[in-house]
Amino acid sequence: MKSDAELVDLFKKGNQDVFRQLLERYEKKVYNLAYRMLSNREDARDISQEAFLKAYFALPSFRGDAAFSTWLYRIATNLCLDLLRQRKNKVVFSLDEPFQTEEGVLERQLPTCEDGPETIVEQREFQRLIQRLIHTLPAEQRLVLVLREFQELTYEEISQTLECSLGTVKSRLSRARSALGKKLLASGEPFAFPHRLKEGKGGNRV
Amino acid sequence: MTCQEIRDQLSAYMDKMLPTAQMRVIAEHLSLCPHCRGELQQLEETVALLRQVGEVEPPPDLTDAIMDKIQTVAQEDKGAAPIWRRFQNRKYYGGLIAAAACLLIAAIIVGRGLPSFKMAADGGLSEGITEDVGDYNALSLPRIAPGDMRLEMDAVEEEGKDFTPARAFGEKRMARMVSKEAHLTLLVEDVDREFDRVVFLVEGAGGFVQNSGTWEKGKQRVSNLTLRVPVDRFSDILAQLAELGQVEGRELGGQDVTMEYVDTEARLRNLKRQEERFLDILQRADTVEDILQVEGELERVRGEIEALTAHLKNLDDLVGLSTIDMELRQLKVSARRIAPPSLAGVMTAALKASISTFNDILYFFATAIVIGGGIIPFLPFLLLAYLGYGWYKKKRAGEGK
Ligand SMILES: [Zn+2]
Repeated sequence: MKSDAELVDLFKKGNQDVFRQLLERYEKKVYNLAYRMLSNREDARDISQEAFLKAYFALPSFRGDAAFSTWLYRIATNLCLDLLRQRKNKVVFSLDEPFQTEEGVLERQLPTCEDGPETIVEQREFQRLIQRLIHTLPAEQRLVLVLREFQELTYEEISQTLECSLGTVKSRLSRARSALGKKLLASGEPFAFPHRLKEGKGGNRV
Repeated sequence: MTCQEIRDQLSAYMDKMLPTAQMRVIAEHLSLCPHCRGELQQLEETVALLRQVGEVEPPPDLTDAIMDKIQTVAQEDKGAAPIWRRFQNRKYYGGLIAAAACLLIAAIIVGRGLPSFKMAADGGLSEGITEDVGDYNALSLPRIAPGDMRLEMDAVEEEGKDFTPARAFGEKRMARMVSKEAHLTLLVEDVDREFDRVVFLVEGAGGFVQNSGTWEKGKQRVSNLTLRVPVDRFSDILAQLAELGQVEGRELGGQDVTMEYVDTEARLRNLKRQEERFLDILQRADTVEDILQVEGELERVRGEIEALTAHLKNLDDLVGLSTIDMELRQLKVSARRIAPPSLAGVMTAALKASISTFNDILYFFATAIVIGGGIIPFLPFLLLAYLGYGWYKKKRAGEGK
């Protein structure tokens, strides 16, 4: 399998068909990034489409300073932020709407971790809860959190994607994690902290 | 370190993203402090939970939908830049160019604003390119914020002031007192290095930095400096400063303070006469009440004298030392690289050209209206241009769906 850089190179040399490989490689990542940021499948689809379209036409001028993936995430990230700015205070996220149609989808993503919510119902509830709580974070905190915990980027990659300093990444991530932790505790959901329940340490739940 | 300081770093500690010494300090604190330990555990559990959230599946048809979309756009625009082509298909695009041309000619005829007009157009152009070359923004039109536009217009207005007859005043009576000022915006590769050079240059010429600041503006590093330089070195310092980078904007202004100066001097003379009179009265006053009243008046007059003297000194200072407001902005290296000449590269380049043309048109309109004033009948065309832009954005947004 060719590396991203090799594919980009081929693309630049005129073999534009290789774009499909890049697309297949990153489609899910970009879609998930957009979904976690926007909490809405319709928008996630639109943003993914626009991101790859932009990437296709801008690729000839991609300089390779950062990895292709970072560059692509930057495009997607900015599109998400633009959209969030546009809808500003409009709350588009609805608890039931995005999940009603995707039960089949969720079944396919049961976590492998044994400590996780055990049943499909629990898993679905858990997914909704997390997404709902993530959505209450300020956009820039959510972004860092999504890039780190869902996209599993390194601090370095996040700072390149967001074009900000490592220090900013650290502090935003710190704030996002601890805010989310508090929200999880405050939610009082039984599966919010399964460890605590099992070990009987749920005493400090609000 | 306090517990709060420790807690702020626990997230980075968890990811081992701190310097070794720091890691050790925190580990030590954790071994002693159960509260911070609890905090760390909560963070770790939060992250563990997040990592359990699986990925969502994109719609199965997404790959094909994206490829189709790309093919459509690429086909549609074969041999020409997408935006150019799309606009060419519209009847009113011709009208748009005609209107722009008319305004351009009008602007040239009006004439006096031409130098500043050129400056505005150049600034806009290079900015547009900086934004677009090598950037993923290639597909979107440069966003011209209303604020930017206003700034350029102000610049034109400022320049216009130099032509007002007010200047002639005082030339007969006394040497004109003009406080010179300049605004200079430079694009530089290394803001901090050029900042040091500016300071060195200005101090070497007997001037000083009145204030300065550096910050990250969006993705750009920006420094602002207010420089004061001896008036007789003004032009040559300005020329030297301009050589430090790529000039993005230059504005020269002079404020004629002759009138103000003369006026202030007259009031000062008047107040001094009043002061003398009050001193005179004070000598002849006998009752305590009278003395107190006169002293009150005297105090007021002296206060005013002090203020006016300070103002005069300030004016002297303004005239003796010119002000240069400088902005150093980081030049995006990308602006100087050019894409290899593949088909897509050519398309992107053509697209960029059409973007700057479009950008120019907008600037033509804005500037021509400022300069011409009387070209108001052309306003409908401006409206048309904005409508066109709005239509384009809407159309593009529509295609995104
Ligand atoms: Zn502590």
